[in-house]
Amino acid sequence: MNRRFVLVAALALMAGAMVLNTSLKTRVQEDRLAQINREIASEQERIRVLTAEWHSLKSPGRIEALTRRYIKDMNTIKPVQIASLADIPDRLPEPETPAPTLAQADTKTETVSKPVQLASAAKPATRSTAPAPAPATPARATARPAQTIVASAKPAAPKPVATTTASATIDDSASDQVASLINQQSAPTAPKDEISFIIERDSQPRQPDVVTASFADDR
Amino acid sequence: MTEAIDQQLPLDIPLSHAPRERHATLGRIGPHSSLAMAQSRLAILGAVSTIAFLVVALRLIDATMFQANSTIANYGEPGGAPMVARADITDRNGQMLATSLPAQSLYADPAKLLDPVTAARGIANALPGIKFEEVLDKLTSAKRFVWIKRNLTPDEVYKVNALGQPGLEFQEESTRLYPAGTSTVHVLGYTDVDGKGLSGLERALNGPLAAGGAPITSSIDLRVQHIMERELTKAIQSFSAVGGAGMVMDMYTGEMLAAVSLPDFAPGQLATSTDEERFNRFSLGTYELGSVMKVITTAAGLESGHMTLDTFYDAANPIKYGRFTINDYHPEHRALSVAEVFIYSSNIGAARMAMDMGPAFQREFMCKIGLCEPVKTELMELGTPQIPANWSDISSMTIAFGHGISITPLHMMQATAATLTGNLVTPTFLKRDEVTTPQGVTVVSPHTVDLMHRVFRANVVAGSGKSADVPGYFVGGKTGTAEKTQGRRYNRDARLSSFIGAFPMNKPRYLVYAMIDEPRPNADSHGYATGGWVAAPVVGNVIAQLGPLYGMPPADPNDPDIRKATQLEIRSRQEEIETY
Repeated sequence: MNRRFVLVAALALMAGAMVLNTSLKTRVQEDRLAQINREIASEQERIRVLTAEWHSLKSPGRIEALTRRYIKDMNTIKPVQIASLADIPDRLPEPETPAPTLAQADTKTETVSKPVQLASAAKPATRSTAPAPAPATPARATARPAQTIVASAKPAAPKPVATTTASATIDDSASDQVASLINQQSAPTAPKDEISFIIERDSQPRQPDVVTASFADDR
Repeated sequence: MTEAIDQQLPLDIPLSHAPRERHATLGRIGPHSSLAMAQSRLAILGAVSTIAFLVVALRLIDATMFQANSTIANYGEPGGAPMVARADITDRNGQMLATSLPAQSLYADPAKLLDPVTAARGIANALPGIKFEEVLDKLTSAKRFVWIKRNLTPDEVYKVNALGQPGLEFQEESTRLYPAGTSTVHVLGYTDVDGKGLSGLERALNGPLAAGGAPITSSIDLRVQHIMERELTKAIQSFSAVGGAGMVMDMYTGEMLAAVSLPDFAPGQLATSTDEERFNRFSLGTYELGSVMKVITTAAGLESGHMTLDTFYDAANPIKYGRFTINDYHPEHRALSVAEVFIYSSNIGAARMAMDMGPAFQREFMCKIGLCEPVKTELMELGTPQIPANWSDISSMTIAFGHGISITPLHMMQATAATLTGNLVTPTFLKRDEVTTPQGVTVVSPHTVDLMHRVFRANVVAGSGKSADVPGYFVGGKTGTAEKTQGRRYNRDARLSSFIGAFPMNKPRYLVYAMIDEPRPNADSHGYATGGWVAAPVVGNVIAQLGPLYGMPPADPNDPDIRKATQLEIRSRQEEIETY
């Protein structure tokens, strides 16, 4: 009987110790859970605050004020600036222009082929993101950052009747900038000043903000 | 052993007996009986502790298995039930218009304060807009709870904590924030410090908003709202006007894409706003809107069957009726067709049209398109039209050109949309989809709708609304210049200039309205402050931005199909036919 008593007592002690241990562990876990729940609640509050701030930052009134301040030449879109692809005349390059660019244009390029009046002076673009590769040959001396294509192409046309094809492979944001430089409204057609833009939206991931421009000069 | 237990077990023996019994038996029985007694005590102890452990075990099972979820769920959320944040309101594209953020509110328990004067001075220094005397009054009151300030900024909370005064406590609350700024204040409304909606959608939808949950999507397009606010503000400034209202509506769904009332105020500055700023001009204010009402008169006349666009009315001389004289702003001194009455905005012609269709028909038609009762929409700031109790001949004539009846600009939107689509759809400030867009009631025949499109367009091509035109978007519309009443007279210098326009007129979808209150002629307007000079350019500018924003390609102005759908041949008496 004694031995049985000792056995039961030992078992009871062990059970008690285990219960105590478990309950202590539970307490620790509960504290952790409470802590995490508090953190989640506070993070959610911060997310709400940040969301509200983000929506306040992107409200049209603020964006418009910033646009007026920092993008000097950007005006409200006029209806005349909207055109469908069908409105853009098909302007095939001269026969001697390399074919590959055309083939690319067919598959996955957006071709903005439009007679453009060249800017009078070769002033640099307002927001050039990166310099172009260093000019390699005298023929390419006019290669500038992509945004300056409109401005700098004029001296590159030495022959009276020349079609300069600028093929600029740039990332999306830059292509928008280029497109915005194309002044669609004033387009008196002077043949020697014609430029045909092929803006290629590259599907390959590129280095951000690096713009390469190459002039396939007339020969 | 068992016998001993049997003897001693009845536990109902009063305890006080035990010592006496023991004392009596001790000497007589000796060591044997004391052993038995020890055993029996052990048994009692065992039984008691067994019961105790059993209770603990049962409680453990209960706590771990049956109440597990209810206890764990509340960890980390002290202070009872979690606070329900008031639901957000967004515009139709998800841009947040109203949201709720946690905020701290400062209260005091005056009984706990050691030094009210120092505390009051500290608070007055830390919180702008709080006066020392006022706080001191509160801090020395006999109450145990006084609010000092609601919704403090984090910086203010820090400063108050830095005072180190006992008895100043913070209560976590929720504050309402409008990230989009002021322009939507008359649509959204505002709440009081306790988060109860006091006007606009906040008031109209207080129940669903207070319940929290998913954001409520309004019909407003914040971009369009901003364009309207900007153009209206420009016009008000340029013509030194006292205020204005502007709206853009999708006529097919009744959704209001923009609704602006100026002057307005920032929702946070409710306390310092004026009555003028809090006044909602687009749905609460009722006005004699003037010539824009000829839209209704023309539609009613065409529906009456008494006239076509080529029916002529004598507009050579002013109408004299009792003490009234009805005159034209730009008299043509000849007979005018219905189309010309609309395009040249002839009051005389409109009055004669009203008499031809009859006051009873005119009244019935106007009530049918919703001008006799408040507009049915979500907002609760709704003006009741002031219509004559006795719809006499003279009131019929003046109503034909927009005097003698006061309606809200929202009424004008609803009614004009009905004449241009044939359907009366209740306007809404909440986003609708295919399911929630009401069918509408057909109130105008398709033939009249087609003719209305043409006179709308002709007014912009050849009439008073030229400056609302936007090449490629085929704008159509009607100007209105009303003299405001002052006492019992009309004041020639206090005008209400408005323009209601729709586009594209070959299949009009968007209705744009602008009203400028008391514009004064400016340097560029050659002494004019009429609807055509003041309000029409606002509508034109809004449309010129709205079209590209919504990706609507401008059409070719010479597109034969569109010309066919919008052109109008106007016959003058001299049989000259002009085509617009």
